[in-house]
Amino acid sequence: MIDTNEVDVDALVIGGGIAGLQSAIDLANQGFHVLVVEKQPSIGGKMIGLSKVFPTLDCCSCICTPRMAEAEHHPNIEIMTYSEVRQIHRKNRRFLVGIVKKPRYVDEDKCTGCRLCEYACNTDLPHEFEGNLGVRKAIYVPFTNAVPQVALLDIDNCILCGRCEKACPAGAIDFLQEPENVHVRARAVIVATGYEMIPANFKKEYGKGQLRNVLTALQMERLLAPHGPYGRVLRPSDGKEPDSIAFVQCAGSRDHSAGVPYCSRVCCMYAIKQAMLLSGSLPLADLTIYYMDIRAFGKGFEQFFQNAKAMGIEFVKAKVARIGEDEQQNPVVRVEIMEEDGRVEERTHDMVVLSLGLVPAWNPRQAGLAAPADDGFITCVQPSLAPCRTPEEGVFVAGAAAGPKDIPDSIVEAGAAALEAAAYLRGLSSAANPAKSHRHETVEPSTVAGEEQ
Amino acid sequence: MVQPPAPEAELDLSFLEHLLASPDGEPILSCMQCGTCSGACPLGHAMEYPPRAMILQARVGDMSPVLSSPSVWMCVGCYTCTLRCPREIDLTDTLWPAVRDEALQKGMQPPAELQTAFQNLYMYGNVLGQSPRKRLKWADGLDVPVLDLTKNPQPVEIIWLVGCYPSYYPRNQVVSREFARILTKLEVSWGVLGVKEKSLGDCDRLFGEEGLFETLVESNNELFERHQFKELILLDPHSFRALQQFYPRYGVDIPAQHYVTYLAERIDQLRPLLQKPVNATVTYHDNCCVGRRCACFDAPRELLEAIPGISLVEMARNKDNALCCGGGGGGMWLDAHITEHGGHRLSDERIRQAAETGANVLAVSCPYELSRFEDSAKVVGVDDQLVVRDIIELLAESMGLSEKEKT
Amino acid sequence: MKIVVVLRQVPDLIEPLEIADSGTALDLDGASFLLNESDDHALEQALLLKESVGGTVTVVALDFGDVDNTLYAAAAKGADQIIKIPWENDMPPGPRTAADMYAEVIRAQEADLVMIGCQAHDELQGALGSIMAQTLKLPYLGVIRGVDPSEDPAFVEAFKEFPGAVKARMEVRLPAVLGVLAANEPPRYVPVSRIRAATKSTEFEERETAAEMLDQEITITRIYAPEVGERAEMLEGSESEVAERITEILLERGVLK
Repeated sequence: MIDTNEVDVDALVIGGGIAGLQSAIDLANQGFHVLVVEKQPSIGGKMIGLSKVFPTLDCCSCICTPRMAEAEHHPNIEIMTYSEVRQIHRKNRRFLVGIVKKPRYVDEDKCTGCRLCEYACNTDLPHEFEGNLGVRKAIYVPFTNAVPQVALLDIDNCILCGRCEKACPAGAIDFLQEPENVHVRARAVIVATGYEMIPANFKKEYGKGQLRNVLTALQMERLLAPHGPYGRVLRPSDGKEPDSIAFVQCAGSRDHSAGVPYCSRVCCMYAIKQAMLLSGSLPLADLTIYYMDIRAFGKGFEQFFQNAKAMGIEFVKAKVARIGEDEQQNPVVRVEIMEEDGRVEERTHDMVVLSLGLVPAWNPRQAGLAAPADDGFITCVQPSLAPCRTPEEGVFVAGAAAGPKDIPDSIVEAGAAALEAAAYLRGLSSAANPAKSHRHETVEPSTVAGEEQ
Repeated sequence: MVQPPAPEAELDLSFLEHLLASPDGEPILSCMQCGTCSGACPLGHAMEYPPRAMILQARVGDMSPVLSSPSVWMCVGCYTCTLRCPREIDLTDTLWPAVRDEALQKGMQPPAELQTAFQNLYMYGNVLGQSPRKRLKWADGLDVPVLDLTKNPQPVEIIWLVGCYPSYYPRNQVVSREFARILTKLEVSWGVLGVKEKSLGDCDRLFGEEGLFETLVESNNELFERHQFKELILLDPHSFRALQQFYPRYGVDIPAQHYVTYLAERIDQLRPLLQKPVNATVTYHDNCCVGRRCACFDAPRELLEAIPGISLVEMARNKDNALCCGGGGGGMWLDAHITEHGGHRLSDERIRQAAETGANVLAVSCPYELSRFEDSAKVVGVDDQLVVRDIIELLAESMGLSEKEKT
Repeated sequence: MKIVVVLRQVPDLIEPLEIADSGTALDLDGASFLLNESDDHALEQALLLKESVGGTVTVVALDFGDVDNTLYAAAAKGADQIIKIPWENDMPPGPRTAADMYAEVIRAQEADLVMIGCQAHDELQGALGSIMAQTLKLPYLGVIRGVDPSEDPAFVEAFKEFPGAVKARMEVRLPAVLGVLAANEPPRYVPVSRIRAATKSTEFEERETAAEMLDQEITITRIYAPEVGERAEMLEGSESEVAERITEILLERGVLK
């Protein structure tokens, strides 16, 4: 373990997803120095893996990549990828943050992202970014538009053949890299740790995640993305083009039995969006959405839902009780059809998509911050009036870390968190230097930062 | 399928009110009509009014089409709907008994076999309609002493409530004798209630025969009060459940255990006694009450794995996702009703799943299951591959206490 | 329609019947009693008629065996009036004595229709209904398998089945006595909670009768368990031996050729 020297910043942003990047950019544009810590090897979070956004159907890559690039190139933003915040310790009005930079076994400064290592490697592994539907090498650039464009070596699955090392023109491969402890001093923290999807095996009766043609919604996002694993929508078990695709809504949301009593907010809309995109790519396929209620509450959402119905997507009010499969590995869903003379039926589809609920990705306790709320998301002390504030002064929250929300809401909240953080930072400076505490005065944050010690 | 009430019809919310007043009834208001219960129910496809639709009819105040439908008598008490409900509504123990009670109160007739079972319970205290005086017949010629506390009252550690099937049904009597030998071998201080023992009334409770249940609770309580003991041990998981969940509602709170947990607690004492290998590939069927409802999945497996020679394989559907045998909560007397109305015997489906594992023994821990699965094995035609044995029988065999060796 | 039903207690066959030391009677000391099955049908038929045309159902029973349970259950099912005739003996009365007692009580009821099971398993000749009818000077029709109301309220329609699958519908002028074998529907199940409620709310009317114990015209000379006849042959041996022996027997008896 290497201990590096302390780094001083105005604000630490935990999470380099769309919310974290937005907060960082908004703070940086005001002159604050920001450090973004991202646990994945690339920034971009969940959004960069999605196909399109609802309800406008803008391409996610097209609108997310510029933000990633902006953050990467911003003079006031420093980004640490493949790094995890281990501890946040408040000392006076400052946070001492312990970060572990995991070894990439590739020197970030030397790597040019040329991918020659990737082409040389002959170990094929399931690609996590593609929802394990595609294949990656043991050494790989995380994905096409990853930021930074730096390779990463999966040491657990590497056979240490040394081909990559020979292939690398920059001499960037370093098998001896070690985790690095980085000590950061920050005056404000924004938690933008986002969400994870509840694991597909959370409900035994949904096939324990072992039915091959039952996909998670994020896997379907990849199938629909322009640079997805197959380049088109095919079902995983046999590569067949599916004729009948069903969506199972509230798969792990609003469900006490799964431990997720809340509504995950985005599943209705992303399922409708996916169904719409599917009707574009597979015009003859039957598309069914099994739902409890359609919650189309946002701007343009209801119209989006009505359009989907008009397009012939079948909406069936029923929560799927069980998913099995037949001998051809076709998923079979057991549902109660509630319409006139309906009964409990078993319906066979070629493919089923679980609209999985959203669960928190990070527990603030593990870094020594205040415990999360009952639902596991970051506690907001004033959810109505100051939704970005947490129980700890100087710690703010943005995006899905505070609770499930969609991209526009995350971006709005990220801006709000940045604003709150900026006000807080300025408050700190005025307290430290009363002479400068004029309300309208422009503060040069980086100079103030030094004075406070 | 939802029958909108005629506009002029008076809405009758009395059933809903009755439901809400029952313990654990309140969450029924939180039902969001998602239909998980209906789809989760292994017999949901055969129900005109599955649980969701029943709740809807209760809310609209029009229960009459529900009460006269065969659906009322199709639940076999497997608790799957309850465990799957996203709102944690206690359907099995609250909704179903209430609907059935309402049906009975409104004069609807339960299926004939069930009526007979009720009448037998009312008149003789056992479901089989056997003479109460023959309660101890199972112990005839037994080679270990059975302390009949009715004749020789004295303080004991445990009272073993033998149960109806284990007392009377020849196939189960074998298991009873072996259990008696195991208890004796473990040097437990135990006794039985002899001719005074009565059914605990588990099935009537689930079947809405609340009055009958009350009668049995009262007489059982009177009986228990006459004896000094630490806890009750039962072979029947349904009775265990009744004691644990429903007796306390009548102020009768007695420590009780199903035999699998009781024996699993004594695994260290058992282990050295399990000498003889029982060479078999065994798959275990989780019963609904001890298994799914009480989430006790390890104890039976621990017992089976302690037996030398046994290799345990799991069915695809196991533990909390296990398929019910269809015999619970009165299901033993509903096969005809259920098959007549589009359902099937769940034990037939389950025995196929057991056979698919390649096991040659299906291990069970519930008195109903022995006869149900043995019958189903013959019906389905897997009886040449698979035998059905209670865990007690497998333990007894390994301990050299099995019936075969004794006769 | 005012209907009177006679309900009798018979020994429950769940326990083996014991023969008294005398060898000419049953020892009923340890026996338990229940409602006679065809009387149960008579009650059901009475309740069905009441539900279809209105009226009342009065139950008359001797205070014998576990009669109270039976009467509470009858009340729970819908009987309107319950009359109990005191009886102190260990054995039930013979049919002529019983007919006198019931008739005395029933006469005072001025019933339109009297129903009773057409037999009881301790009295297979089924005499009680007809003797009672004679005592009451009313017409009697026995072995009835269902009664429907008639368009003319002075009549009911009774059904009988004859050998050879022939059914007959009979108009019976009321008042009359019907000996019921089976009701239109099987006797109803009544939840125990109702019986428990009836136990608290039902009051029995007691009617002493002046009827005297009459001598039995029939004297029982011996009561005994059937003597074991030639026992069935148990086939032993392996499956194939048993199968072979079965085939032989079937051939011997001419079932197989």
